[in-house]
Amino acid sequence: MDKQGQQAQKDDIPKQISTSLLENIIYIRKQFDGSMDLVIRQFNIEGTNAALITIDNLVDKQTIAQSILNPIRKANLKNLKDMEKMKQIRDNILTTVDQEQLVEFDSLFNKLMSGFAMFAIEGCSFMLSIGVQSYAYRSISEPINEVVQRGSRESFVEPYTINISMIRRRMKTPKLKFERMQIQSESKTDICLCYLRDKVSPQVLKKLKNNISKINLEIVMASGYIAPFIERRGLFNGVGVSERPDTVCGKISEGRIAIIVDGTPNVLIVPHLFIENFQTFDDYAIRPFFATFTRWLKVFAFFLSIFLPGFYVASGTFHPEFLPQVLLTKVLQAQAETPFSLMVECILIHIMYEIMREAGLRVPKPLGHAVSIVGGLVIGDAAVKSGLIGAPTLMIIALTAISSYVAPSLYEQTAVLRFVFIIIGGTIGFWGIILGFCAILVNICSESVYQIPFSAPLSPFNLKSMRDVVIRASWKVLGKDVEKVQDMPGSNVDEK
Amino acid sequence: MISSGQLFGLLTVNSLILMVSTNSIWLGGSDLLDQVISCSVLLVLNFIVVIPLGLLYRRKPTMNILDYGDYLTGWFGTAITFFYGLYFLIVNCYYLSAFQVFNSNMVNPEVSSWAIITAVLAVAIYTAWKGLESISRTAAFILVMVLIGLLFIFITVTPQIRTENFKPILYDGWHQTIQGTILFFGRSTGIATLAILLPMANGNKKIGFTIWNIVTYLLMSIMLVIIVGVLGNAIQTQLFPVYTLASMAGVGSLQRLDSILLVVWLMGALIKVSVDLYLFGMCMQRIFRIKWGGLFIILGAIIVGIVSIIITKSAVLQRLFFHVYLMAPLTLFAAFIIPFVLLLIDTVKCKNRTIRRAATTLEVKHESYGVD
Repeated sequence: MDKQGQQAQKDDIPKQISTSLLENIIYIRKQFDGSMDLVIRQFNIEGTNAALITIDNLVDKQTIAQSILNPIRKANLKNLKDMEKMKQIRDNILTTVDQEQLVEFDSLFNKLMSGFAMFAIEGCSFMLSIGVQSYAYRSISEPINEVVQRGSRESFVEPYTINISMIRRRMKTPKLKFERMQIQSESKTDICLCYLRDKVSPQVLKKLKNNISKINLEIVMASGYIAPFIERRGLFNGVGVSERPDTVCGKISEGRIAIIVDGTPNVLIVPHLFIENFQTFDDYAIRPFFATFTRWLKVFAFFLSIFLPGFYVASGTFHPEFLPQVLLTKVLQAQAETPFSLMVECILIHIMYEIMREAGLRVPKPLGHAVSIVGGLVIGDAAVKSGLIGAPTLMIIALTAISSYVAPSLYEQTAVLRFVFIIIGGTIGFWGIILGFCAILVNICSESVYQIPFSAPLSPFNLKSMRDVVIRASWKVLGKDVEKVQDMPGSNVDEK
Repeated sequence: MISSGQLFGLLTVNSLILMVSTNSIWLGGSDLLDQVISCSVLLVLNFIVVIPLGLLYRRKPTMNILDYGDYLTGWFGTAITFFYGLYFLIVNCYYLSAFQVFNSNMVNPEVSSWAIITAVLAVAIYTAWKGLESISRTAAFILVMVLIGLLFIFITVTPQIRTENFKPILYDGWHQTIQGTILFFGRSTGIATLAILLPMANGNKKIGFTIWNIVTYLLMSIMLVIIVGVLGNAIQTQLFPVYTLASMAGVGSLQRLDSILLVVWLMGALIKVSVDLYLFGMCMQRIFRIKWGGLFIILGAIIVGIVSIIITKSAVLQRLFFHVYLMAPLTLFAAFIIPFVLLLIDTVKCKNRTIRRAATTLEVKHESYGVD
C-alpha cells in the first residue's frame, strides 16, 4: 500500500469507540476486510447484546471459556442497565488479572493483535481488553553464538515478555526498570528498554529514546533493523548484541541500556565500547590469570585475522627480508609452482573460503557434511596438489579464518578488512599495512558512542579500568565497586 | 577539549620523530656525543622560550596565540595567523621530505615514493579531518607502541656498547654542539604547537610541559649515547644512525629489528603530519572566516605532497631545506618572538588601560570633592 493509501486508512480510523456495538463490529470487520483470523463471538447478556473479539491462534480458548464466558453467563445481571452490566462484569465477575479499559480504536487494534480479547457491550463507549494471550513460541534453549564453559545455558527467545522475565529473575531489584516503547511502523513492533534506574545516565537514556522515536521503518522484523538508528556511523559497532540474559544483566549493572525487540532472540546493548568485543561472559567465570591470557589471545587473534594475509603478501612481494630464510625459501618454492601472484592467490582462496562459509550457514543441515567435504578436501587438498595454489598461502588463510572466530562480534569487519589489507599489502607493501592500521586506529579513536569515547578506557586512558581491560582482576577487586560506562574518561555525559 | 596528558602525549610522539630522524650530515659531523650537551641546553632553553607563551596563557587562558594576534594587533593578527599556517606547512614538508630521504636512502623500497607519500597523506588527511580529539586519542596508542619499539631496540643493542667508542666530549670543539642545538631547536615544533593548542586542553599544563621536556631530551640523550657506544666511528658513514642501530638490534631468533623502526617512523610521521595539517586548516579557517577548514587540510596535504617530492628529488633544495638556518629562525619566531612581542604589547596596553582607569578614578574623586 502506498503512503497516501496508508494515510487515508489512518484518517479513516475513528478515534473513539462508539456506544453502538453494531457500529463498532462493522467498523472492525471493515478494517480487517474479511481476514480469516478475526473471530467475533456475539452473544446476549440478559437482554443486552455483547461481543468478544479475538484473533485466532493468539489467544488461549480454554482461558476465554473458563475466565470470561462462563463467569459472565453464570452472573446475575438482571435489572441492570447496559453500562452498569459492563461495570459489574469488569469489577466483580471477570477473574483475569490483565485488564484495561480502551476508548480508542488505535490502542484496541494494537492490543487485539498482541493476543488480548476485546469484550464489548451495547451502549458502552469503551471496551475491555482482557489478557488471554497464548501463542506458539520456541522454548528457551542453549545459546548458539555465545557458548560458554561455565555459566547459564539459557538464551533469549523471541517473545520479549519471556526475555524480560529472564532478566528480572536474575536481578531482583525494584531499581530495574522495563520501559515499553513501540515503533510506529506497520508491524508496530514492541520494544522494551531495560536499565537500572540508579546506574543509567539520564542523558544517554533520553538520547536513546529520541533515536528510537525517530525510527521510520515499514516493518521491524529483527533487532538488526533498528541497530543502525541507534548507533554511531563508524566501521565498528557501537551497539552490542547478546543472546545471553546473564551477559545483559552484567552490562545493565554497569549503567548500560538493553533494548529488547519483540520477535528477536538478540538483545541490543548501548553504549558499546570497542574493548567489549574482547570480553566474554566466560572471562568472569574462570580464574583471573587464565581470563587475562584468553583476553590477550583474543586481541592477538583479532590482529592476526586482519593483518596476517596482508603482511604475508607484502613480505612475499616487497619485503622478503622480513621473513626468516627457511620460511622465505618455502614460500618462494610454492610460489614458483603456482600460476598466480601471491596477492591474487590470497584473494582467490579467501573468496573461496567466504563462499564456503556462507554456504555452510545457509545450506540445509543434512547437506552440511557434504559441503564440508567438498570445501575441505576437494578445494583445499586438490587445489594445492594440482599446483593452483601454494600450501603456505592456504595455511595462512586457514589460520586467519580460525582466528577471526575468536572475537565473533568483529567478524563482519575482519572479513572485509582482510581483503582490503591483502590488496594494500600487494600494492604498497609494509607501508600500506602500517598506514591502514593507523587508519583503523583513527576510526576507532574518532568516534563516540552516546558521548562516550569508543576507544575508552584505553584512550583516553583510565588506570582503574585496566583491571578489566588489560587484565581481568579477581572478583575481590572487581566487586569493590562497579564502574559505570558513563564515567569513562573523556565522556561528555552530563549526570544531571 | 582534550586533557593535558593527551596534549603532551601528542607532543611526545612528535618529539620522538625528531629523535629517530637524527641525521649525521644535518648534525654537522659524527661526534654525536657532543649533542648530549645540545640536549641539556635545549632542555633549559625550552623552559625559557615557553615563558612568554606561559604568561600570555596565564592572563587569558581561553585565548591562543592567534586570538591574541587579533585581539592585540587588529588586522596584523591575520598576518600572524598566516605565518603560523605557513610555518606548519613548512614543518610538514620538512618531515615528509626527511621521511622520503630516509626511505630512498636506507630502505630503498620497490614501491614508488609517490605511492607511499600519497598513502601517508591520505591517512593524514583522514586523521586531521577527524579533529584534535581523534588525533590525540590515536597518538596515545601510537605513543605506547613507539615507546615499546624504541625501548626494545635500545635494550637489545645495549650489550653491543663498547666503551672505547666514546671520545671525550667536545674533543673537536664547540662547533658541532652549537650546530646540533640550533638544529634540534629548529626542528622541535612543540612550543609553536602549544601556542595554538594550549587553551584546548584541560588539566595541569605546567607538570605536563615539564615531564614532556625532560622525557624528550632524556630519551634523546640516552639514544645518542647508545648510538655512539654501539656504532663508534662507523657513524661517519651512516646517514641515519638510528636505523643502523635498529638493523644491528636483535635477540635470539628475533633479528632484523629495523622493521620496528620503520613502524615507529611511519606512525610518528603520520601523527606529526596530521597535527600540522590540522593546525594549518585551523589557521586558514580563521583567515577565510569559514566554519571548518577541512578543504584547507586537503589543499595543504596536496601542497605538502608535491613540495616534499620536489625537495627529495633535488639535492640543491635538500641542502637549502634541511639547513639549520631555515627552520631555526622560523621556529624562533613561532615559539618565542611572536609570543614575546604580543606579551609586550599586552603589557603596554594593560598599563595604559590601568593609567587611564586611575586617571578617570582621580577625576571622579576630584569632582566629588568639589561637590562636597
